[in-house]
Amino acid sequence: MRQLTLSDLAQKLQLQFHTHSREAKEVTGGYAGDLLSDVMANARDGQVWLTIQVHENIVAVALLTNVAGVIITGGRRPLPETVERAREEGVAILSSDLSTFTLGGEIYRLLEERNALVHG
Amino acid sequence: MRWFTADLHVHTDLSPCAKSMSPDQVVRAAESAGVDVIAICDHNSAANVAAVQAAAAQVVVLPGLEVNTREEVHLVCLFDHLEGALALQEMVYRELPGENDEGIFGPQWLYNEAGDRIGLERKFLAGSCRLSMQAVIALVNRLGGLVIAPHPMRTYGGIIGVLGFIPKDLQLGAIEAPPSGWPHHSPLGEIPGVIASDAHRTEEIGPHMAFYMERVGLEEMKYAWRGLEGRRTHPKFLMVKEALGR
Repeated sequence: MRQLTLSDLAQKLQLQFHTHSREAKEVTGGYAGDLLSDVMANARDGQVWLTIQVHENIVAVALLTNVAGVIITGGRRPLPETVERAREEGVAILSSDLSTFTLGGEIYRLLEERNALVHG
Repeated sequence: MRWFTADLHVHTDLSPCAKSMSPDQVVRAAESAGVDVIAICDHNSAANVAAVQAAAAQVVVLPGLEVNTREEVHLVCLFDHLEGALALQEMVYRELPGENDEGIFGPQWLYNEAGDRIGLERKFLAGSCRLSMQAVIALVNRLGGLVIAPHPMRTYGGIIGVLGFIPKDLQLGAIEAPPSGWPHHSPLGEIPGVIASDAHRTEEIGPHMAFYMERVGLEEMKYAWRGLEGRRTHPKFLMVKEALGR
């Protein structure tokens, strides 16, 4: 496994897809945050973004930061208008019943394993 | 028509973070500071509005609540009549989990119209309710109220601090001016501005802005923001677009 994609994460961690991204991007890292002003400043291209915010603004922040996808944690689900906007814009939104901490730990572990395969 | 000085964001001792803000203290502070209109907006509650209205001699008291939405965005919701504020309070209370811990957050004093402390509100007023920002705004608009986004740049409860920018098509009535000046984000241009104290102490209450209008009321204030029918505001910059010189 050279690349880690959102589909890989979804399959291994039982994530639910609400919308898909226009192009499947490699997941290269992650960022966690619920203050969108902070996420706008610090999330990076290719990261998955873990948040409990379900407001429509997460779609714009995802586009702005070019993250690989947004994962809504803690059993929350995106609002209908958020799903609609994400579909229009081709932004991937997933959700998980795990907390941000636990899911972040799992994704970190998968990324480390991937790195070990690539560089080991 | 005449000028009415206003402070459209004032708490009472019902807010756990406020201090020495009994209805009597709030009214005396406002009247001695020369404020004609205050809006009482405690966190998620309008339970002390009637007591402040009863304590008022000259100052006009607009009923309100500062609702904390599920996004953790604060919204100051103002009404012409107490009934509107209480109707919103009922809906917010239904969606407001938890119980206050006075040791951590402070006491939430309830007052009666005679000005006596009658007990402590048990609900966790400092918390956020399960209603979305859109839902709160829709409720307030349906009840004939007005929504102001307070302290917009703050990462605790400020709409821009929390949500990064003001969502498009949000039916906001007005936005509070941040101390650092207006944010240079669109689509702020069409939203009227307010300068208010967010007073948690009596000395913060003041005549922070003024409306030239026929009588105190939300419709009159909306006209004043837009400079219609001879109404206007002071400072005059209060349409944000003008403030930015665009």
